[in-house]
Amino acid sequence: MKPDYRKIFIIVLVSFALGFIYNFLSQNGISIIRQETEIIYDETINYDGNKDDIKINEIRALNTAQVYEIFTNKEAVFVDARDSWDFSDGHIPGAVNIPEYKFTPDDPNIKYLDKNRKIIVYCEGDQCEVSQRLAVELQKLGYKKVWIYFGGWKEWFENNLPAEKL
Amino acid sequence: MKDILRNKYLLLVSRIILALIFVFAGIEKISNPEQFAVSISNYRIFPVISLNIIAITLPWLEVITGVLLLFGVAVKENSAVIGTLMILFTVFVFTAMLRGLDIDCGCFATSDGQKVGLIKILENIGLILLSIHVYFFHHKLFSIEN
Repeated sequence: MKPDYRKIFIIVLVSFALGFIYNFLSQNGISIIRQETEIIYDETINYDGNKDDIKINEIRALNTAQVYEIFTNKEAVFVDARDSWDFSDGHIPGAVNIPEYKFTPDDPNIKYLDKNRKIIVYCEGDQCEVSQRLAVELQKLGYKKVWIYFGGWKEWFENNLPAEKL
Repeated sequence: MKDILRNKYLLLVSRIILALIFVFAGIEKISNPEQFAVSISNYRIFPVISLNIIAITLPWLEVITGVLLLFGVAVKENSAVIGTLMILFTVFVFTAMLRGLDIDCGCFATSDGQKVGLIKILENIGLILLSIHVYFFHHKLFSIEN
């Protein structure tokens, strides 16, 4: 005996309708279309990074031009938050690979990070959130000079900037 | 074996377990849609614009099918929906495992910290078996439907 597909359709439809109605009325309601994370570019950093009033979880982002300037001046340590497979396929020269998905505070590569140096975390690009999450983890460990390069590997590569392969 | 599976009391137990798990799982998510949306996004399967729509609708589908199943309304249809959902959930958990994602599964309240992993998959398979049991051997004991 087969199920009555009309009943299934009604059950699904009523559930979805209730979901939207509840969400509209609820105090905890969320927008129906999720907004992508808003990126706040750090215009004022003038690259000293000595802001002690920086709050944990505050996401400060840099654009490709800023990142490239820091890169040429060797002012920062780059952290690649992608997995080792992506990393070995190509990354910003000198970057340290700390895959976010298996991050622990005793990750062996953490020792390459100096709390007094600037740290720029990046991942694949666009909306990949792993760089954000890794930046927050690093902030929790006491790293204050952490920025995110949202353009990531994609934008870096598209601009034909220096690359390194393992 | 078939006689055991046809046992109306065993069927009732299967039905109630399945129904209660879905009702509770759904209610937890309804109370915090934002957290659930984040849980879904952790799987990195669905596009960002769809996350909130899933987070708004899916918990209600779980609760409604769970409640209907509990009271024995349209048992065949609801167990079919629940079984399908469980198979999809298991596939998502499995792909997350294969990709090495260490994430909360988002199955119940996100704060309970149940990780994606083999135990989760075994639990899910158990629930799939329960829904198959209810679907194929449904007995009208304590059911409202006629």
